[in-house]
Amino acid sequence: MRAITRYLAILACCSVTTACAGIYGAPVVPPPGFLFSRFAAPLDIDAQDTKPGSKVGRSSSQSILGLVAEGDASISAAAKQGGISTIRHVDYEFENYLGVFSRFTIVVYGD
Amino acid sequence: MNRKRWALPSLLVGLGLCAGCFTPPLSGPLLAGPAASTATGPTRDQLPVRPSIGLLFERYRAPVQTNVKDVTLGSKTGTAAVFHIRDPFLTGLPLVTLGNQDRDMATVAAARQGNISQIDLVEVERFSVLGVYIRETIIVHGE
Repeated sequence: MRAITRYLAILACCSVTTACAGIYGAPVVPPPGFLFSRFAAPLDIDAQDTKPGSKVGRSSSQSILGLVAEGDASISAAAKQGGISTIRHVDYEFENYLGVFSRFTIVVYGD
Repeated sequence: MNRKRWALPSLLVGLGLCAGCFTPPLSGPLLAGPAASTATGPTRDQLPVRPSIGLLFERYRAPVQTNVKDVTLGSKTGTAAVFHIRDPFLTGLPLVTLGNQDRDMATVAAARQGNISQIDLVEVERFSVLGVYIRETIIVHGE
């Protein structure tokens, strides 16, 4: 038991020092903050002639210590949450607190 | 004594898992086609959208396509899965891979599975335990 605890502690130290919870990928990535980040950026980079719809839907996934990641950050889930049948544009929001907790949210605009 | 015996293996496992998530994709000029997806194994590095990672456990859905202007979601859904057993410590490469390794082929397979003739949206569901067992499921929405 002590060995497992020690193993998890080392793993947590590794993930905190490397800020694993803050690692993510997207087409557009603003400069991230090592200690704290909270920003929105486009996911769909083809915004020409886009008419943002009247509805907004969100869906997100979370990561704790970069060790456990769980959630549904899909466009279909966000559209369903917002009652959107036709998608016009998609952005994302990212939050990171000390590399300990991070949340990746898909934001869908449509009608 | 007991503490010393566990310290080094624990450190190696921790660093190994961390190094695994930083392993760069072996694609592009180095490897191409099916070999690329085999070498990178978990195809997370090739995805345009990658939510925050989980070294011990991952279960999330994410978009594969980001150009979704004026997409109307169809009523049908189809899936196709790829399984990996990966070596996260020494090589970071998959030891065993089963399923459609090429993402384009997997998309077609998912469309066939869902009896979809027109694809509207493609997403992926990733399930990973310790970075050793990885299941990646392509989800296709359409009519």
